[in-house]
Amino acid sequence: MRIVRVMALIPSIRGSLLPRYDKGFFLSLLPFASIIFAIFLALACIVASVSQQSISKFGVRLLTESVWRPSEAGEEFVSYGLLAPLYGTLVTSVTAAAMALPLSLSTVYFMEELAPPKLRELFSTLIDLMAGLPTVLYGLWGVEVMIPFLRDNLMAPLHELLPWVPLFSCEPLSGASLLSAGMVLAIMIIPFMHSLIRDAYGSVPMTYREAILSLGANRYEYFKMMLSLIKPAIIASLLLGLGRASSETVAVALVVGNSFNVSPCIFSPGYTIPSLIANQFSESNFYPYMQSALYAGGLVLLILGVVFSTTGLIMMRKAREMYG
Amino acid sequence: MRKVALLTENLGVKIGGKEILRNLNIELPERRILAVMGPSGSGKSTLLRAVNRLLDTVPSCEVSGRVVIHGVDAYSSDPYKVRRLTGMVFQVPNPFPNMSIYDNVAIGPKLNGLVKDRRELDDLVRWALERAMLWDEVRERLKDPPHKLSGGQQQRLCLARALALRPKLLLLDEPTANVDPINAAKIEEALRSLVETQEISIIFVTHTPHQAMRISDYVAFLYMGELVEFGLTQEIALNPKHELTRRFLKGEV
Amino acid sequence: MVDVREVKEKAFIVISSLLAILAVLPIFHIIFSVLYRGIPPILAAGMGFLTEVPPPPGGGIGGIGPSLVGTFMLALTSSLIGAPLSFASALFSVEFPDNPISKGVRTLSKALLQIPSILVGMLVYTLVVVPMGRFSMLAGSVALAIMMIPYVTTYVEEALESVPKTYKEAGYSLGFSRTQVVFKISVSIAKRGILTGLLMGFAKVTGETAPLLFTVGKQRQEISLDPLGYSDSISLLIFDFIQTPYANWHEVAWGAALVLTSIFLTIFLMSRSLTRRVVL
Repeated sequence: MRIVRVMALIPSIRGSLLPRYDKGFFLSLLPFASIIFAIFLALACIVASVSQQSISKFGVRLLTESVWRPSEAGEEFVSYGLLAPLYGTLVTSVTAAAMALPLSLSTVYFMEELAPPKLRELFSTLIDLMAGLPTVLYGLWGVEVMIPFLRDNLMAPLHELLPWVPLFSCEPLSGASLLSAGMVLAIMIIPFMHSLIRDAYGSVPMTYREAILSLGANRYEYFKMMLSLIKPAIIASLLLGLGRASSETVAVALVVGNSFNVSPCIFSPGYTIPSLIANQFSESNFYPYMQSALYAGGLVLLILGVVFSTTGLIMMRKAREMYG
Repeated sequence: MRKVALLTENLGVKIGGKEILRNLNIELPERRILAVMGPSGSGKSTLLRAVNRLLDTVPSCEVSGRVVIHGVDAYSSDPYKVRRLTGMVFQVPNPFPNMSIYDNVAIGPKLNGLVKDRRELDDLVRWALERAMLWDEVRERLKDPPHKLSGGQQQRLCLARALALRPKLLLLDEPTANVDPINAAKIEEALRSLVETQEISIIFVTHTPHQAMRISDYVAFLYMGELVEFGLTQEIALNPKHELTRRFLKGEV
Repeated sequence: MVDVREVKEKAFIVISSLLAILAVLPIFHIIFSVLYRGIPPILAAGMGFLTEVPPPPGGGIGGIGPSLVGTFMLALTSSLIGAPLSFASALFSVEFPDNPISKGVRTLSKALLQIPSILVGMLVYTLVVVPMGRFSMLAGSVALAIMMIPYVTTYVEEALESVPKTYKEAGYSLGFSRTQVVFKISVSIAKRGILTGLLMGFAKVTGETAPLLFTVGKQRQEISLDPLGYSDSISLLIFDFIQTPYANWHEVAWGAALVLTSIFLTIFLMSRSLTRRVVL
């Protein structure tokens, strides 16, 4: 039965110029190409089966509690709640996307409309460089250079000046915090968001640009109207940027502070799901349910990723359709 | 004596060192229609874009000579001001796809602070749509997106968008090239009635001599970037001075 | 009225230029910091930095020999696994574009880009490390190969697709078989793009950390070439050392960062000279 199905997928040679032995070519590539299916299948099976144990034990408490108590003493002492890392993941990625957006838009405007060709070339090299730089270097720079600077020059003054604002209500200790993670992530997703927006910006036909200018728009108004023409792409870049930010691991693990906290204060250290996994997975074999709980975290991460990227890709398609 | 709507003095345009227009001298009186004709590549569209300074956006483009629109020297004043004095309609209908029909017309006045309140804006939008002979067709669906309109209606929407700026000079780049004959006739009618009833002058580029003869008062004939012939339409129709013009009018170039 | 608009415009231009510069400022500062803090430990350790083993906590600089060798070995072995797979999937989806399987390959290889790298690490841990009973270079290279496949596949697909159809038709008209057309014509015309793809994949995996966290083990005491033995990478060493309280390990981490940056920049510039486009 199954064999027949597979045969049906082999391209028909009727009415085509291709000789019969193409089938051999097709079949010899097929196993290689199928590996990618196998990877997904394995991922789905393993994430589902390993996380199942903790999901059935803790149920919804996995998402609503933030007590993380690995214990060998007995089942009744064990508690795993992913609320803090989930909260941290969302807060840091939203912060990152919100900060990266104006910066990405500005680089798009700067490169497309202001910079002379040489400078534009330099900028695009720099942005490619940022995109490819090993993420651990962002983390290293973040924890050793950016955090001390931010703590002394931004967090401490803000806390002293506006201690009654919930966002700034806690004293920055080491400086490793949700805000620091958000900022490092913002830097890391700029090239990604930038290139999505720039592609869309470049695809707006000349005639709309001329129409905007012919209405007497100045440069600011021109850019504003151009942005409104590519709104779906901008939303897509935000969503895909969120997806990127929420799945980043090592850079965040170095700067987020790694502590279970659900605090409105952005100066407080926190956790994200990937940084939790990075920190705890290696010892998860020693504690009952821990590995399963971490896999449940992985599942949550996957679901978040699917939500962000599918909605993002839908918006992207919408943006592409707009101008053929 | 009529005022002068557009005056060009030794207007020349070079793009990337290549001469696109050379030594153009045109004088168009107010409330008249000028048809710019010529084979493709003769510089017709460039002429329009030199007038409202859209050429500013073309890299490596040099403009020499003078362009005066209603007494305003275009190249020694703010380009945005020049563009607000002139409205433009393009070859392919290009209403903004992200705005409603109403907003497409309203955007110009809003941008330029031409109206004080919503009622004034409503009136201006209605006026522009009426002048573009589109009001009756869209009055019930001003909130619709423009792609629901036919191509010809979209082009008239673009005309309304340009008119809502209350321009002194209207520039049209082959406005009927991508439009069916019925819509083309409506646009021509709209243009004719505009110069008869409003303080407005029109320059339009066309590749069909018949259209030029039908609605223009003046004709400029461009060939390879040079103004081969310029004058009253009737005179040129009867007695073209230049061999090239004669052949173009017969459809041979 | 006009004034307000003009002020807004001026402010907009100033602000957007400043923000654009701010956006790329970090990369300068990162490279500057890596040089500033990475050069001293390397100068102190000399060439030994590339060959020695790391120091004990609190004593000296030593070197990153095992991690450096591990990085190259991992990149090499993961390319050995990932490159043929990517090449085959790309060929498959370009040559049989309408086949449902190749549509699936295309979609999934894009989707693979979105999968968090830490999950790949977990997956390989469960699939390879647990059955084998130990961490290994092999497990690390499997994880890195999975990371690399979507990048390389996309590059190779694009390179193959950019081959004008007319050359392929010319091949068929000479009586070439499909295989001959693909390998003698498409691949040789697109070889620059394919090479770039492989380079980018290589660059990508030399810098990866998360997929290695639970897969390679941390072999830092001797240089090991055994694919079934423990291994290490520079990025992993940086990640571990910077989280310790030891000042000399921090110095080693910065020195290692300089080495990693140099490797990355070399590959980056090589691929830049081949192409201008980058898949993010």
